[in-house]
Amino acid sequence: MEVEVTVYSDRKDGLLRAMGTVVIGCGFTLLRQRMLPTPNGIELWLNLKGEQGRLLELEDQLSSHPLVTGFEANHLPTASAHTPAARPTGALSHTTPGNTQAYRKAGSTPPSPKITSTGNGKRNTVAVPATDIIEAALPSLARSYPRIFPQLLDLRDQIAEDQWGVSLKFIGIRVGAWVYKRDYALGGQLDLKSAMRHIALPAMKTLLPTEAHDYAIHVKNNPFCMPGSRCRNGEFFCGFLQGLLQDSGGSGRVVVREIECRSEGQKECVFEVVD
Amino acid sequence: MIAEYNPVLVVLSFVVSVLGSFTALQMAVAIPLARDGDEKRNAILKAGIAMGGGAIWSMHFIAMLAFDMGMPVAYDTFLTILSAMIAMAACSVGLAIAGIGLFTFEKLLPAGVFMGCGVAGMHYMGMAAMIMPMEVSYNLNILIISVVIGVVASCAALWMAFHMRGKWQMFGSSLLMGVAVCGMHYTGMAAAKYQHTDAVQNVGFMGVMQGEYLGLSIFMVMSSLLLLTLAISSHRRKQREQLAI
Repeated sequence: MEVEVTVYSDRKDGLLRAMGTVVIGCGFTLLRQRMLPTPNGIELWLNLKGEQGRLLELEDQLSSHPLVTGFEANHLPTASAHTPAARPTGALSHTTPGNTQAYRKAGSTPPSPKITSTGNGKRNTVAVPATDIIEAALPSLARSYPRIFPQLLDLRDQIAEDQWGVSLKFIGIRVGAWVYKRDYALGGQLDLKSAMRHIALPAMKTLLPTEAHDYAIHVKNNPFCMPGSRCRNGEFFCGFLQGLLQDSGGSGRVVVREIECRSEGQKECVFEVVD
Repeated sequence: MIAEYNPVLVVLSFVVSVLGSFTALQMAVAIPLARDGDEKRNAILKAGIAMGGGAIWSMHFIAMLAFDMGMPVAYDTFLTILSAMIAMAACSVGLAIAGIGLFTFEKLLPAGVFMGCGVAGMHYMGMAAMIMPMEVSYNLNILIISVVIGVVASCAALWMAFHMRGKWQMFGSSLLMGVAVCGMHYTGMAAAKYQHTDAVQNVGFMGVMQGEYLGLSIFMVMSSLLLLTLAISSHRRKQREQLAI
């Protein structure tokens, strides 16, 4: 399959080489690339070809790369003549099939949301976490852990709607990584199935009633999810599980996605973990 | 020969093996967190020394002090030191296998075999170090059972220490390792048959250790273990409190 990826960075030097290394490492081939300056740095557009099965891994590695401050991908079938100016535009959503919009790596500081202009005059918003607000809130979340949901829900009033999803995921990753280091880091490196059972499940259970089935975590009462709203809000748990599991095993390439949601009429929210 | 065990010292030998295992396994579970080769090697050696010297060697000689044979027994210094080295080396290898890279069931058996054989090797070398007017022979079947107990219980202890998390990981693994060490030792003792001889074995070039020196050595090892346990617990608690989110 072909995929178009755009990464944003504040550094030009070494960006193409670093992204190329990740692309090759994930088994993809670089078909075309174009680098454009933006008011906040650099926009690097890549047209890639590779196996669909490794797409999540590619997206995860690109989006969490230290040089990358923003990331978007388009999995829709692409015509060979596509360039950044001609590709589909518009703000991408986590829930749009075939599209992903990524987040900053935990521990780094992303810039404020930026708007990039495309050749056809449309504007394309790249949402990034509201780190100023989040960084101020994290120590308080650590003190309150595991009773953090009221504080997280209060944050919704302070964070812009388009930043809410990525901010929740960012918080999730930070909290998950912190819980892992605090409670689960001592011990052997585990395969994903064992890590799900001995790390992810007990950590999730401290937050709310949870069950694990193979590589999926089932959450009955996701406090971010409004039944019937048809709006998935599982980003916190995706980030939390990713933060928990990314250092627990050998690969460090854990990707978590919400595959079922109570807001869409399912009994519970289900998060699938892929290595 | 009629020999008797001192029940207080038998209980103490189990407590020592559990305490030594706790200290060693608490050090061992940090092996995967080592950032480079040097740190990893140091972590493995420390854990191996604590396990071999603390849990296994000390336990063995407390249990030997508990075993009243009705005659004075001395220990060949060289073989006694060698027995400790065997335990430390084998435990270091076993813990390295378990602690480096992904912990899988395929690694469990070789790691457990090294640990179990370390316990058995130390025990039988320690028995060979005894200087007394008696000859020791072994029932082969019971001897094999003693080694199997050491290996199986070591596997279970390693699985708990490296695969699980939480209280079971901390305390369950130490208890199981204590069972491995004591189970192997007392089964091995049951395999031994003693026959009086007029001749006393030749003493090695390093001379012999009498009971009081042995007791002093055990006391020093035990004190070190207790201090180490306290230091590790205190350090981990501080780390946990200071960990930034």
